[in-house]
Amino acid sequence: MKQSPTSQAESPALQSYRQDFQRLERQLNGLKGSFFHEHRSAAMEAFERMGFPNRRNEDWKYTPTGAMTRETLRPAEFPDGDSSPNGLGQLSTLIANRLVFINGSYLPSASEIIDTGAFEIGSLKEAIHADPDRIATWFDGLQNSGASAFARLNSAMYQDGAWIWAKPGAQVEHPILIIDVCQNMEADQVAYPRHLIVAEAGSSLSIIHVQSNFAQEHAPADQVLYRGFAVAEVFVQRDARVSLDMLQEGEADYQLIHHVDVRLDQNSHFRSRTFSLAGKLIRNNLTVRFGGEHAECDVQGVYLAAEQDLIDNHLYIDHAHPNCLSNQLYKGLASGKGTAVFNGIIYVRPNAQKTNAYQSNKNLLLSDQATINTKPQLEIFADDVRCSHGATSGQLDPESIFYLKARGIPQAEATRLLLEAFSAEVISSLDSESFRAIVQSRFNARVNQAIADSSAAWVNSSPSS
Amino acid sequence: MLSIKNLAVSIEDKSILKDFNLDIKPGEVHAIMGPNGSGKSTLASTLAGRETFTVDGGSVQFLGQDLLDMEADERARAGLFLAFQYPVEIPGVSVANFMKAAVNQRRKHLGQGELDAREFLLKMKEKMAMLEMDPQFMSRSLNEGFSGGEKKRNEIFQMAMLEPKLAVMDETDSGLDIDALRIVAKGVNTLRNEERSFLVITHYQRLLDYIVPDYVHVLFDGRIVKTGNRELALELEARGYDWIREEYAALT
Repeated sequence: MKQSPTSQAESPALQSYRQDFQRLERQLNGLKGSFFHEHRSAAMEAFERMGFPNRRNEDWKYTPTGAMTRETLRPAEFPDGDSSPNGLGQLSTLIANRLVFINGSYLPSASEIIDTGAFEIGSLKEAIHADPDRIATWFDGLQNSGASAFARLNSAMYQDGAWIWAKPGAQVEHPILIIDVCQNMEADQVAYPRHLIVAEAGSSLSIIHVQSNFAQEHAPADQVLYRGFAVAEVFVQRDARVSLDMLQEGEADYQLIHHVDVRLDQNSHFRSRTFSLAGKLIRNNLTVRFGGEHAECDVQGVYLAAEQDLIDNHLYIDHAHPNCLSNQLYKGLASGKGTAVFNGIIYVRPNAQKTNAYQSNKNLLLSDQATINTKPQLEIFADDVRCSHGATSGQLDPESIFYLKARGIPQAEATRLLLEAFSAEVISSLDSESFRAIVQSRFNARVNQAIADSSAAWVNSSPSS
Repeated sequence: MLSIKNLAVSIEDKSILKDFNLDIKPGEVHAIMGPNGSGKSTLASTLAGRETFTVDGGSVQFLGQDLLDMEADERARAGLFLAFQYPVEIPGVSVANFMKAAVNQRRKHLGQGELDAREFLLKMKEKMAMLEMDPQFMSRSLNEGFSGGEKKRNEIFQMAMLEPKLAVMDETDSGLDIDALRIVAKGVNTLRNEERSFLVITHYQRLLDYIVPDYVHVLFDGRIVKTGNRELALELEARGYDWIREEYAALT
């Protein structure tokens, strides 16, 4: 413990994280003193120096993590006894290479790799044991999330996650489905999933990442808990292509803080679609750094903050090289007392001439108690660039509602049609037809619920004239 | 079919319709003509249930029901159709999806089962052909990027799909060239029968050359001041509205 220990650093909570970390260190058979052990220690120290963010941090202003971080969260354990997820629900319709993680630990019995070829898809922990030096060349190599205590804590405490590696020029026939579920998790526990994805030169990967407890959708709400401080690192090497689609949805106490760090080499391509449909608190930090010229990224998302949910998407696109293209399109809905946050930074460095960077964030408020905070942020230090951004927050157009009603379509159905249309641009761009159907049906279910709740609220709040 | 008695309507405290009376029987085609600002579109919007208008008095019976007590969507399901003067563009909602939702609501109301996909497609194709619309319109976003004429044809297409009891056409002829006008009129005339009634609201007589009305009413200052047959429309075309204004001024 060096450096100005703050009052927070001495707090019982942080001491307890240190004790948990020391317990974890004792279990690191054979890795003691290795790169990975050193790395964990350094991350733990960094975390202790920083402490958890609070709302005085500009970056966390709208996202109250206080309730979550005041208490000590113990690392979630691999559940005892029957540890197969209670069915995969609609996910079983996806033909994919499947990796299942429970509470951040790998579950081989529920996982299945159906393709063969020049790639590796499996457990990161096993990959580290098999060839630590090789993994060390990639692991935590981006450090984009250096600013977040949650990511540092993950680097100190992670158990396992996906290791996905495609050899130069390789293609994987079917998508790779990563399922992160939590099971028998207790109220003071948190999982630390840690995924590492490397697409070598000219290779191509398509990944679907589901972070949900919806595989347990039949369990009573109070027994379903999901809490994760997750990190995924994605290396897209020269001429490689990676597509990463994420579905985040959970009941009641679902809390997810998720860092996705991407590096794009020359001529590479990255696209992501993020669907955050329900959760008490979801925070996505998606950081894309260009590491070479003529690379492209296209990141899009749909979020729905209903009831008292808070959904926060922070994007950081770092144009560190010339001639790259980035596009952001996020569409959000807030209903009930929900809060949605969007913060998109486009950072164009002085040498990054001929940058094309676009950002669009469109929001709809479905109730007068819902909140949208949107902040586009362009920091441009090159002069020969094309950048644009636009953010809107509004309500459904009453003229459109009337037009649909005038054809016999009831208010709720009209609203659903318009919201489906609002999100269609993003959802319809999903490549996998079966995943698109899943996202659409989950979105429709959540929207129907939000409409039902909102109209109930309207009835209650209408003046008794 | 429709019985409007002493209807008074205002918008933002401005009185627009005053003591408006009209009776329409099954199978009849009524035309309402009048200068700008006489209350024509207010009448159409009030009948369809647009909430920006306030009904200050009077009653409207539609097929024995109190129309003013019904929501816009209930009115449509009961068989009232408004062809909009300015159809709304709705990006992301395809004509086919929209029509399917609307047709099924109407069928449900009539106690009929939903059309299966094939029947629905055939019906759409048939009605589009009648209105000389490209079948590709089905998959396009509702009214988005449609020309003025395409929007109006799309309104009549929807009317044909929904088979209403009473169709209110709010200046459907505005912005139409002569060919589009002829196509729209053909569509309407095909739908004419002994049970279905039409209320054709128009500024010009031209449309009435193609859709021949049983009655022509002149709307002025929020009331019907003159009623006749199609000869009245021709007279208005020839003489304009000034003589109506003078007659009305002499009366009041």
